[in-house]
Amino acid sequence: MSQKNNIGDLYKQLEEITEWFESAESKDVEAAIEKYEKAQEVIKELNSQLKTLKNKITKIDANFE
Amino acid sequence: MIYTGETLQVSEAVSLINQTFEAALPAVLVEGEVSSFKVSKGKWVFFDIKDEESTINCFMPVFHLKTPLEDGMTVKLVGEPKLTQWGRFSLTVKNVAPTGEGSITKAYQILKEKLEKEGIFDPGKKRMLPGFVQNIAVISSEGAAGWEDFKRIVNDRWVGVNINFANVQVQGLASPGQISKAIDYVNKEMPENELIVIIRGGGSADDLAGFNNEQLVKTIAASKIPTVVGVGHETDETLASLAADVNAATPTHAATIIVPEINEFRSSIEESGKLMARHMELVFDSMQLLVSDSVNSIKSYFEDLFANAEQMTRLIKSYNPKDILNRGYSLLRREGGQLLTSPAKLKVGETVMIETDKNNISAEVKNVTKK
Repeated sequence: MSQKNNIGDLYKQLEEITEWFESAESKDVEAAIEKYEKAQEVIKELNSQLKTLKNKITKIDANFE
Repeated sequence: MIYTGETLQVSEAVSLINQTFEAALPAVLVEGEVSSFKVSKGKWVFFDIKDEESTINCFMPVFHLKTPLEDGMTVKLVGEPKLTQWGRFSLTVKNVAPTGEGSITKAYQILKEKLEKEGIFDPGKKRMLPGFVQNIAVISSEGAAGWEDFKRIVNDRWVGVNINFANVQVQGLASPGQISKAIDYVNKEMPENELIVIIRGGGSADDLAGFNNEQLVKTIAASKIPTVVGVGHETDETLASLAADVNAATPTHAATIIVPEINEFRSSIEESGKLMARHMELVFDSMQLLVSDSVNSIKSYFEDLFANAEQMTRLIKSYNPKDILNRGYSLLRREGGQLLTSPAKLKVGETVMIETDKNNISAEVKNVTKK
């Protein structure tokens, strides 16, 4: 079971936005504002998941003898 | 001893004896030295297991042999006692493994060389670990120190991982078979797992011998799901570790390479945020500069415009008829008030109006002559 927008996907989005800011395209002011706002959403979601997620251990119900 | 039971034929006696073995002693675990080892027709393995006083013949199909054997090796085996129709007592071997450091090392070297030639350890086959795993299968023994260490480290470091735990023996003759079954089970029934982790803590060469079993090594190499093996202490190397996609030194090490460290991750997010904020400052600074330049350009434009307008105003003003009249000029109009721009059209006797700066004069044309 994977949660929507899992940590891996969110972090990848953040990396992509960071790379964009380091590229020449970041001089486009409107696009920069949009990307920045999106990054803030992603960061907020990441921090929320890091706070709330728990590890879970399930024993496999099978006999391996 | 006087026997009062029924008289048996030879075959019947052999059959009865084997039934008695099956009921009373279905299997024995025996340790001893290998001698007279041979493989017949590529299908059948024959050898003797012996100690200082006794020898037992052993037999097994070659596909049951998961570890190399040589004369002189000390082994432990599980065998079923059997009396053959030719009256020979033997053990049908179900499981055999070298025991004692010397035998284990020898078997290890032989098998390692064989598997290397088969390409089992080929570095080109190794897969990268997935980042940010969510579902992993861990194969180990409940209550074992290695499993406890692994759990503790994962819980300390990260969140959101679903660990599916397969409880198996991690030492002894049965361990390779159980671990192999668990790997196959996860591959077939639980493919959502992104990683299979096989762990156990440190132990003697005997304890870890199961991880040099050919069947287990090949099962690990064939796993569709990437594998991590973290067995023993830092200095222990097993063939299972070499076959895995990632060889972790210990169960603790396995945990540290599978999941990130949460505080480092949080710092990384924060750094990204700061980097972007710095970029936005630069963007706004350059915007401000642009706006400032634009304002200056616009200001300059209007200044020029106003200067021109002033000039135009003065020019237009200079054409104000009142100012012209003030300079001593006069306007000539017909009696109806129409301005005369061409006095040559005037007729003698016609009445005209002369407008000066202060007076309107009515006059009669007496004469018109060209200059």
